[in-house]
Amino acid sequence: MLLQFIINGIIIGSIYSLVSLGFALVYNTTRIFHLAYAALYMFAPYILLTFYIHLGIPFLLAFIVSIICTMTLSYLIEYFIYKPLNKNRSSSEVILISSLGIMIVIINVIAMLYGNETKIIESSISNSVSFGEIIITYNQFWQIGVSFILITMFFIFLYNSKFGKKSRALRDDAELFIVMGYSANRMRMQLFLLSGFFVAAGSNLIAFDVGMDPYVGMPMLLNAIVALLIGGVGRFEAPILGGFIIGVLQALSIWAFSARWQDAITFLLLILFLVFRPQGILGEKQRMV
Amino acid sequence: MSDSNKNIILSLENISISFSRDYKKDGKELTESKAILKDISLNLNNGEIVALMGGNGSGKTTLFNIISGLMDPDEGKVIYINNDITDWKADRRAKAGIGRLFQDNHIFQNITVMENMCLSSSNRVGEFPFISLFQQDKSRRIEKEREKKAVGILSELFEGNHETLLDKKNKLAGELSYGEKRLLGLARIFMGEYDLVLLDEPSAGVNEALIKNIQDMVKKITKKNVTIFFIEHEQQFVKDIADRVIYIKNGRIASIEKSDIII
Amino acid sequence: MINIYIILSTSTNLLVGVTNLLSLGQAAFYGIGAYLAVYALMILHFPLIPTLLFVSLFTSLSSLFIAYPSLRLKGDYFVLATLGFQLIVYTILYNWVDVTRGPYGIPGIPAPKLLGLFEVTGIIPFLILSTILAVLTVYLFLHLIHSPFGRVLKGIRDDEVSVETLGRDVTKFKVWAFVISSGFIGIAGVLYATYVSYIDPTSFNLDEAIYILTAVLIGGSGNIKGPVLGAVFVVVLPELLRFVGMPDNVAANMRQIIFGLILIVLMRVRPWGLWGEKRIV
Repeated sequence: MLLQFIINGIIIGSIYSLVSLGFALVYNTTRIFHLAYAALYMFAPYILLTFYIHLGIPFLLAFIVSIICTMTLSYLIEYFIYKPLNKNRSSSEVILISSLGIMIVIINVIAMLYGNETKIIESSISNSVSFGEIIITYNQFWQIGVSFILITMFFIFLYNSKFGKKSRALRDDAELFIVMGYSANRMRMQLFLLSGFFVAAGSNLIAFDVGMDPYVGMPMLLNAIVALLIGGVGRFEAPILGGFIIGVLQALSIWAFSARWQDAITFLLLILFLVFRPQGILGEKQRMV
Repeated sequence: MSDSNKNIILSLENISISFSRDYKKDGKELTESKAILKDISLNLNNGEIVALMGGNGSGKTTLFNIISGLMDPDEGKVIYINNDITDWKADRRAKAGIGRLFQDNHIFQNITVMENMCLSSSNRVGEFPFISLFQQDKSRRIEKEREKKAVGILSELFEGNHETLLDKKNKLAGELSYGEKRLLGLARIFMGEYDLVLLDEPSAGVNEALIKNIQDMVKKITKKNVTIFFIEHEQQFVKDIADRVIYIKNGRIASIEKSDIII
Repeated sequence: MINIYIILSTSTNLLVGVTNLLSLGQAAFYGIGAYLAVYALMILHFPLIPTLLFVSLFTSLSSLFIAYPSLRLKGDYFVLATLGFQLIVYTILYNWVDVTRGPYGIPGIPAPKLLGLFEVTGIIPFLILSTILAVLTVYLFLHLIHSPFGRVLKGIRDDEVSVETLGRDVTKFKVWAFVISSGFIGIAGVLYATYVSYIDPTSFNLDEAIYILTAVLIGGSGNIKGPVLGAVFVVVLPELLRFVGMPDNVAANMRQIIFGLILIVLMRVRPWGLWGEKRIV
């Protein structure tokens, strides 16, 4: 039965990787502590819900609409909140607090419009396939399948395009970036759009399976941040690695103790890494100046 | 290094430091390493005024950071008054008498000029939570001493428009002009009791009239038998007050001259 | 209630406004304080003043657990560490049912005895008690902020490196700020436990930490006026909304939306808060 837990862990880990990747796209390059990301995570499935259930639009179309809406919201946050602060050369604390502010606003608007209770998109129990003693549901297949495809596509894109080189350049030195003729603003727009894409995809894949409420964003954001930290800030492989590690670790802690303690284990892992290895597994040791 | 041991206040032995960055190119993992300082050794004698010169990016500020304790060298030792301080943290080095002026205006923007000065005092009594609540008289007395010392220093500093820094003592330091901030940075050095003072470009970005003022101040520091190690680009400035000049090029010491040799 | 929040926000201000250490762990100490109070009152049967001393001492000690590891981290990582701490404490309070009764909460917290004579029950006595404690807290922090100690903290806020080269051990000062602020937050926990006479972990979760932080950020950081007025603002506003006739379930969300919007605007134009110490950020 341990194997079942591990497999579940891997599958959920793939979603964590996806979501963490979206966060890393923003943090690695712009160093913005994008708390509002939690709101985006929560936002996507509600759009899906609205279009699919309330408006009766076919599922795939609703899925796409949800992703587009989330990407747009992601960019709007960048445009109205982060960009002006960046121009003001605001400190990172100020940016963080603003991010917190918009996160609070979005979450509560949704809560006001849709209520605090858990909503379900698909109320029937998903079919599943058995491999001996191991059971994998169709939903889980979708989860790991889509994640895998998206992540692979991302890395192909990252290493074979100017976009990838530009992201890393932006991270290293924003001023040099501008001097070299690239538009930092356009780059940021692309990053935020892409980030919105990933968070919406990941979120919908989960929400479709287990439903959602207005407050699912924060716990998932924490998982994403821890995944990124454990993997190592600075490389895009890191959130992927971290996501799977957390997924499996949580599954193991459920198997060993009970579901109640899985969050504590995650946070404990966070503190351990912060204290002993803040650069993560893959990260570079930073020199303090 | 025998009989003059007593006179050597700072000794750097084989200091090397480099920055490295991991990156990927064509799918391969590479590490780019840039050596900032290579095998630097030098001695400073007690009471000397030594200038450190060299092109931009030649590692001068990094060297100062290593002496101050803000950066750790990859190799080498820092010896201060016959103690190996290579492992000492920055605050310990400051308490031992190493003072530092930074290149950018590292003053405290959001407290007043007077508070900046008091915070720079070597007399740290009373900086413990709640202690001044219980020892009101003593702490008030010490604070008055600090302020008096600050007043003495500030009254001699002005930017040339007939207003001394003393007049601005209650202004937030962030509201001062660039030149005034520079003066304040220097003034803070006076507040402390240092044996070795590191000045990073004291006259940078300051107009002609002020340079003389700053020069005078630096000379004043030397009167107290304090060793001064300073980075400067202004040749005339260096010629006027330095005993020796150490040139750095590409991370190594290029030459050490008497200052009258400067062209 | 306002008084409790005045204590909370003034203490947090020391960390956030004066030293510029953005912490998300306040509610953890609030909760630790409250649960320690329960222990002191119900199991050890301490009267009031020993309870206060006991709680603030042990809350301060507990803060050392998180202070030393996290204060060596820079910026974002520090926030993350405090966040982790807050959540770990919450999870422990919630799940360690044997000790804390977890989500069932602890009812029937007795009124504390003052000097073995009076029992502090009823609105008026509590008002008096909380006001005394609030005034005391404000006075102490006022003193701290203007003392040489406070000056060093403000220096750390502006430029840690400079402070270090001036011979002060920055980490030690940060730890002090942390310890002091958590001690007083613990006292607020005592007040809360005895006032409401029932506690459960949900009062001390991340939302609460954010709420306390909001009081400091909106009201003002860095001085004394700011967090005090901020506490008033943050406690009064929800009541106002209720007064205006907004239904309860909507009011909760509305309050948050208002706070969020105010935060966003403030960070743009006035990052030190409405009544805070004006700063060049």
